[in-house]
Amino acid sequence: MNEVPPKKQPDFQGLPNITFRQLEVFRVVCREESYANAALELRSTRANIKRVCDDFENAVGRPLFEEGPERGVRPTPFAVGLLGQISPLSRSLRRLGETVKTLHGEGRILRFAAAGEFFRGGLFTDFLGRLQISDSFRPCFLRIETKRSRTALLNAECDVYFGVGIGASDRMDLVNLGPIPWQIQAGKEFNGALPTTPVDLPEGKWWLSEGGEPESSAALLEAFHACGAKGGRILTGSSDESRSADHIVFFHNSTARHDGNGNWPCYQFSAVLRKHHPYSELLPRLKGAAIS
Amino acid sequence: MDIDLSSLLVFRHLAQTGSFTETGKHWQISQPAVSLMIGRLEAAAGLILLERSSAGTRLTTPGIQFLERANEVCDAYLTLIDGMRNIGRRMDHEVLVAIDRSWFGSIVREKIPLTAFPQGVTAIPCDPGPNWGESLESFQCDVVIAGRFLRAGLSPGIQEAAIRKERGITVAWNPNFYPFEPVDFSFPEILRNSVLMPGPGVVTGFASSLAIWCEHAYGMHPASSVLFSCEMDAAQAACAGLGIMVAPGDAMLRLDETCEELVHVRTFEFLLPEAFTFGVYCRSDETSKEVMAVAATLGKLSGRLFAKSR
Repeated sequence: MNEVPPKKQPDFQGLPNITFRQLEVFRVVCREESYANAALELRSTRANIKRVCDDFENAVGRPLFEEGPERGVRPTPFAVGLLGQISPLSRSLRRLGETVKTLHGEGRILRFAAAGEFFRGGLFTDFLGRLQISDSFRPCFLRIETKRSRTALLNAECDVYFGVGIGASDRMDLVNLGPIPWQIQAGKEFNGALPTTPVDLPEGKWWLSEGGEPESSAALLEAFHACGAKGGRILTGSSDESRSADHIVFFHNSTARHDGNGNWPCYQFSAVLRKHHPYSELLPRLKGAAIS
Repeated sequence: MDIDLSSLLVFRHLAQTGSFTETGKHWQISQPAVSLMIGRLEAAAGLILLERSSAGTRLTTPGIQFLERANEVCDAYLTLIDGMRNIGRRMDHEVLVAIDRSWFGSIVREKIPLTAFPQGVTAIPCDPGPNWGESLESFQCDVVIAGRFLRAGLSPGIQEAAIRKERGITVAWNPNFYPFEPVDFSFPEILRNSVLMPGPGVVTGFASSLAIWCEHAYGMHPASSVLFSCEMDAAQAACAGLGIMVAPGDAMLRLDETCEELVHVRTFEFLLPEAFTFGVYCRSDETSKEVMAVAATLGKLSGRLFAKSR
């Protein structure tokens, strides 16, 4: 088992920075009078155990062990005194650990959120079907519009947000769940023969429906241009009036399955959660379900 | 579950105040540092403990259950730290002496560096904090030298060597501002004015006992009461006409000549024969000979200095 080196933290209000692990290791080393034996018992390495003890010594500001016979160590008188006072703290920490375990056992609440359109079915429900969570979580669902998604995630109002066109950011982990299919609408003059690649789009006569954050709509338009399309605009509620009936409009449709119309750049369906989410197994599970 | 114990203290404070900024101020760390510590704690526990919003922070249901246990851990942790520091002091032959800010205390504080303690023992003066009885019993200090009013500060866990006891209380005012006469003085009269008193750092239990006394005996509180961090400050405010000074025991003996213009009365001398006690205190079950020796030395020193009236 690898010990993660503790990060340096401010020594605020003069309190030593002691960890649960240090107390546990200290007790075992005192009893075993050997780093190596303590390492065996705690399923760690001698070097790790020695380092935890050194950190604890630094935190309390006094030597805790001195060399004993046959490569062993002997607790100093200070350590012996300290050991005699540690039991109440260890007991209360054990009780805290048990409470945490019980809370895990009862199933922790996991709040999924998405914008209203996703609750109609399709991609969202398909993905939830693949995601195995009922063993350790109690899921519930919230409806939160995309523009509030970041605040809601950072404020811990929800744990995972499902949405379209959400960009990556420093404080969020993003799992890409695949492209969202287009539903293409066009005037009668195309007579069923729609363009099949971006190059064929009639200049200035096509629109992309707005999805997610404004940056992601702009980025998608760029992607169309990179594939050879010319012109094109983002269709928002306010721009709807300038659209004429013979224009082509790309609507993203999260209720349909993706049928592989691979010529078009697409919005991505993604699951977003705040970085270092307390439920450490959540991110790997989301990724696992995305791959399958 | 590896958790930083200090992050539990921060979590407890955050749960009490509901404010990251306030918590950061209290622990003298930045607000992002508080967020980071709470984030790490949540990750270590695998639980979401808090919900943040613009209106403040509130505990989630698991957070409430976690806090209940975390409170016990915090208390045990602070007790361990006090105990650990105590062991350290015993090993370094140091004795921490908490001295209050009374006139007596300030004289003892000056004498400590000049006093010979048993071989190798160092007495380190410190402030007693808001409640010296608790500090003493929880090993935050080893010996206390302080004044107390009536029975304030006493507990079965503390033993006292009383150095000096004084009767009643002293009431003093500047005659240029207040018309009271020492001969036909009536205590409730002064309660219509500002009452200037030494605070709990000077004499434990004085201001609080006086408030209870006024309520029970006269059914009223002073128009306003101001607490001072030493008796001299209270007396000087009384000289300036800012109010009436009320202090335990024979306060006039402890003031210097700048306060000569004050008119004063000793009252309740028979009702409160042991109103004010100045003493040396240590834990009842103290086992360290060094602590006992320092307490005895300081007791003798204080006895020589204060046992008789000046």
